[in-house]
Amino acid sequence: MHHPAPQRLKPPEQARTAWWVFNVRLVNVGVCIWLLLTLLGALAAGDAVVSSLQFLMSAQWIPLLYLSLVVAYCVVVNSWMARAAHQRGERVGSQAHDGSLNSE
Amino acid sequence: LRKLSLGLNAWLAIYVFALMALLAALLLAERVGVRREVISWTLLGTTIFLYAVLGVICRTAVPLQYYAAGRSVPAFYNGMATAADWISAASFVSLMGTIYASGYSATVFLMGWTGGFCLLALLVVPYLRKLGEFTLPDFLVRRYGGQTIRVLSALAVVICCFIYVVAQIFAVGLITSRMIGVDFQIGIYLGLSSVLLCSFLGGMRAITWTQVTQYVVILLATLLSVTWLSFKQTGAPWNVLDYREVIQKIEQAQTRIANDPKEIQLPVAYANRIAELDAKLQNPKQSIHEEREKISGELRAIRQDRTQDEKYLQLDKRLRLLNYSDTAVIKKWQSDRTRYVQLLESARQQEIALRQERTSQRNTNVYSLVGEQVNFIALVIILCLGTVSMPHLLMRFQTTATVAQTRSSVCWTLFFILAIYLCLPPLAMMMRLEVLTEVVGRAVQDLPDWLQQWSRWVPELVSFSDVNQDGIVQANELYLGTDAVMLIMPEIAGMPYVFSVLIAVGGLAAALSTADGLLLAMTAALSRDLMGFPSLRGKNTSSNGSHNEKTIRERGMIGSKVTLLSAALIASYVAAQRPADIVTLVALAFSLAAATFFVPLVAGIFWMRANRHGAIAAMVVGPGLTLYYWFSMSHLPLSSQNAVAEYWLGIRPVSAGIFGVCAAALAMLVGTLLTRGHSRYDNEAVICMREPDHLQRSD
Repeated sequence: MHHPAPQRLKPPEQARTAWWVFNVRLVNVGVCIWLLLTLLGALAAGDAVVSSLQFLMSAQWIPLLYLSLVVAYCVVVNSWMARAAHQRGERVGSQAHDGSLNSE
Repeated sequence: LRKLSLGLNAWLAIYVFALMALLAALLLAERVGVRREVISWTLLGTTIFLYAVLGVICRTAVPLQYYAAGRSVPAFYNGMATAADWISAASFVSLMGTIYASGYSATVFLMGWTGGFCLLALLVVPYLRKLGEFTLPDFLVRRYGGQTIRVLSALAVVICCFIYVVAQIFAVGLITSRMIGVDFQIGIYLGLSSVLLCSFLGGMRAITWTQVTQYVVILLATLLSVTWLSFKQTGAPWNVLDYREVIQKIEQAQTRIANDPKEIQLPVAYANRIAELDAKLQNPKQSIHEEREKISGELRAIRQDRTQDEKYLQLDKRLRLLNYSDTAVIKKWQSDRTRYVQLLESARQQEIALRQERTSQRNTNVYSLVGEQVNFIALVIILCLGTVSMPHLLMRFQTTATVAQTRSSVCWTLFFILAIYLCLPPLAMMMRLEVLTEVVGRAVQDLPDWLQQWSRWVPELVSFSDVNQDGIVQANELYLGTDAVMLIMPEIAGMPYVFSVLIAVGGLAAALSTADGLLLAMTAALSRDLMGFPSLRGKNTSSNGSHNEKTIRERGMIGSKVTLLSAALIASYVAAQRPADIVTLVALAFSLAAATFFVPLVAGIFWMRANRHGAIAAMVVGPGLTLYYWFSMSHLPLSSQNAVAEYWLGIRPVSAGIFGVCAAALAMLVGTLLTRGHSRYDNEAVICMREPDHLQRSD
């Protein structure tokens, strides 16, 4: 019986394109979320003093959501990078401490 | 690195405990009656000494160390240092005051200054780190090529950083002079020496570690103050996270003030006083003569009346001032006029604030609400884009070892910034409640000491005038400038004196840390991009270079240090002239940075076709339009109807950069599409940025 050969790493050009497409999609989603949060914060603008109800949805807490967005983005990208490097048998950051400029 | 990191953690823990122990010891000392001067000198001296020691220990003459701390700073510590770099005097000293004065609408700064980090992480920082270029001009030259780009971007870096650093040194002067009781100008130069101690010898390497220690001071100052106030006002220190009870009390107090006839009449009284003074100042000599005659007549009339002794003394005092010197009288009238204008603006703000509150509750005046929202969005966006484009911030993310660590360090930075920023709104609200309940309604004879001292010391920031002469303090008779509220806060709240010193030391740390970063960014642009001292990259960075290379490198480093010193001295001289308030200067710096750099940066990374012509067009049109809008509109008074009609789309000059960014984007688009395609620079740089190393081309 014929089994298909185990999937190999994509050729470099395809891998490069796949990585960039993945990255751009993440960036697009991230920027959309950022814009949504910013508009939400601005919706309640114009009130000089926060009332009790407004406080619950106040812009003061939106920075926390910004932080969650940045953390989520970094975790996804960094783990993607780590996995891709692992597939190639490399350890992320292995060349990090020699001051080289382009180490990922 | 792991071993080093563990060592660093231990050092950090020791430092935090030592600082807390010092504060506890000073609190104890205050209780047993140690003099205030001793307490302030001890805390100020200890922290400055620590910064100086770190500055000397980390001295270096190696360019990679001087400009990028050897690219070996762990993500956690880089995040902490970047947070200190970011939390400037505007954040620490002025932001709380702005929230105090404007309430909810001031949270625009919280959103803008944190939202920028999302864009920084998503759009810019990892790619810049991947390319490995240390400064913004380096990046733009590598991406677009050409000397025009280098000169334009370096000039823009110098201008943005200069405006921002002037604001920091202004704050340093304000705090230092207050703490040790010297003249404002002397305070500036004393503060400047502290800035130079941190950055002159060690560059980024020294700045990184002083910023870490400065962040701890800023954090402790904020956390201890907010928990103290929370405990005092609500009985529980953790109410920092939920201060609705405080807000309800403020609403009650504000409603009472809004319905008080005396408060309502005050703006009219101020307007009358200002008109009187304007009339006098039009022909001062004649007015002084007339006033002399008038007072002399009144004095003659009541001279024999023993029941009017007090009035006689007052009139006699006024006459003596009028007879003393015409110049002194004119100066006094001018300062009185400034005070009344401040009080009138403050009263109008209160009035506008209360009107807006009612408007939003009834939802009747939709136009005003929409106008506020448009301004809110414009300012948030411009602060975010300015954050992305600030050269000193971008430099800090070049100090980590890898791109992955750079991303993590953005997360840490935002975390550390939020730890401070989330404390500022409750602090401002608690402070407002304190003023509305403890100061407003008091008899004028019982004015608190802080009000008398500060109004004597900085009348342009703190003033009080019993305009209606009813002997009672009204809310509209009291003016607290945004730059002063944070510094006075411990005295208003009746905290121990150690807290006053701690807040001042925290403010100083915030201003110093930002000033250091800005000076370094400015120096890099001036010395390397404009004067042509040796580059960080290439053979000169090698420690094994030939004797000739080493000599060139050393000369370059000496040149950089001399440039840093000169830039710091010029900035101090300008700050000593008190050009404007801190937040205004910072807003201008942000607008300019966003209008100049945001479009070329992001297009350079994400638009393969973007070319040099487009970038040059964007970097000329963007800041040009921003400066035009700023200077043509900023002279109009904010609250006047004419000003609102003059503004483009109703947007205030503080967000001038929004027009600059749009114009820059258009210029980039047109400039690129109308000229020939990308050059060889574009392909090389873009491919390098977009490819992770494990996918790097074998050729």
